[in-house]
Amino acid sequence: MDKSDQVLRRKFGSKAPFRVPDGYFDDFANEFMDKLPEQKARIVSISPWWHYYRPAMFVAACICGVVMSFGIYLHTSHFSNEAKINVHMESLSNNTIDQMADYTMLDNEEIYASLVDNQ
Amino acid sequence: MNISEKDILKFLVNPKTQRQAFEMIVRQYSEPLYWKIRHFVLSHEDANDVLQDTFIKAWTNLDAFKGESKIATWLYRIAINVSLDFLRKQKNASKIGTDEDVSISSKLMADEYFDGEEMQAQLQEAIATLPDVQRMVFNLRYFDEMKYSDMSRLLDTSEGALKASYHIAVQKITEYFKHKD
Repeated sequence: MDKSDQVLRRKFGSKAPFRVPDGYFDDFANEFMDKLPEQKARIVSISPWWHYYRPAMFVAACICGVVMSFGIYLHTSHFSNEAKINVHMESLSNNTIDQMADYTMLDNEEIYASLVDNQ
Repeated sequence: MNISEKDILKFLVNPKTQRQAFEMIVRQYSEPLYWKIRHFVLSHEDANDVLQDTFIKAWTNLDAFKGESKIATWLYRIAINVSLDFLRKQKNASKIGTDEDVSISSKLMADEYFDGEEMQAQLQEAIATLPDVQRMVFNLRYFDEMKYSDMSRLLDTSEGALKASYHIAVQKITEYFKHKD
């Protein structure tokens, strides 16, 4: 409840002291329907339930689109990075081992064998 | 016995049962609608007239109801518009009239369908000084204790704006009584 109206409620109460003639509501519908003119039936078409949620659905669809696009971007850039790293590693390994082989005057077979032993 | 909205809608879309469905609507919603109207127009006779006008408007504009809101919300919107039109006509008529002004509180105290004390009649007089829409917000919150979320859907106004409107209305009424004292 709003605090701002506490003073008014304490002073005046919360109920409007109106009343109606006895039986007013019981009789109202009967009397009103007796007077209601006939009319050609109106075409009442009820929108499907999801129409009410169209704005929320639009926002949700936009968010999904953004999230999916970002996910696809991350996924593709991750794989391309991995591929680049693998190519780089391969070339690095080959270059490094060749250099090592020259320096140590070991042949490649002996170097690879030592790498396997050290794993 | 209250009939579900789903059942009422089923009868309403069928031309053969449309009038029957409308009678269900009148029986189910006449009392809650009446009290909302009464808070605006104050007298029972005026509230009765406005209530009937509300249902006639609903009946002749049935095809405007698309089921995007509840039946109650749709009816309350019509009732509010009819009540506001009534108040505007009443204000214009009082400007033209030459009779000496009788205060609202005096009229209420003389009304056989008003059970309150002088203080409560004066509160109604204070409420009547508010601008129409602010008065409506005040009545819905103060007397009906309607949630701001429901009021927002009914009046198609943000909750923040409604809270501000109510707060200002309370301040104005408080000031009214300070000046009166």
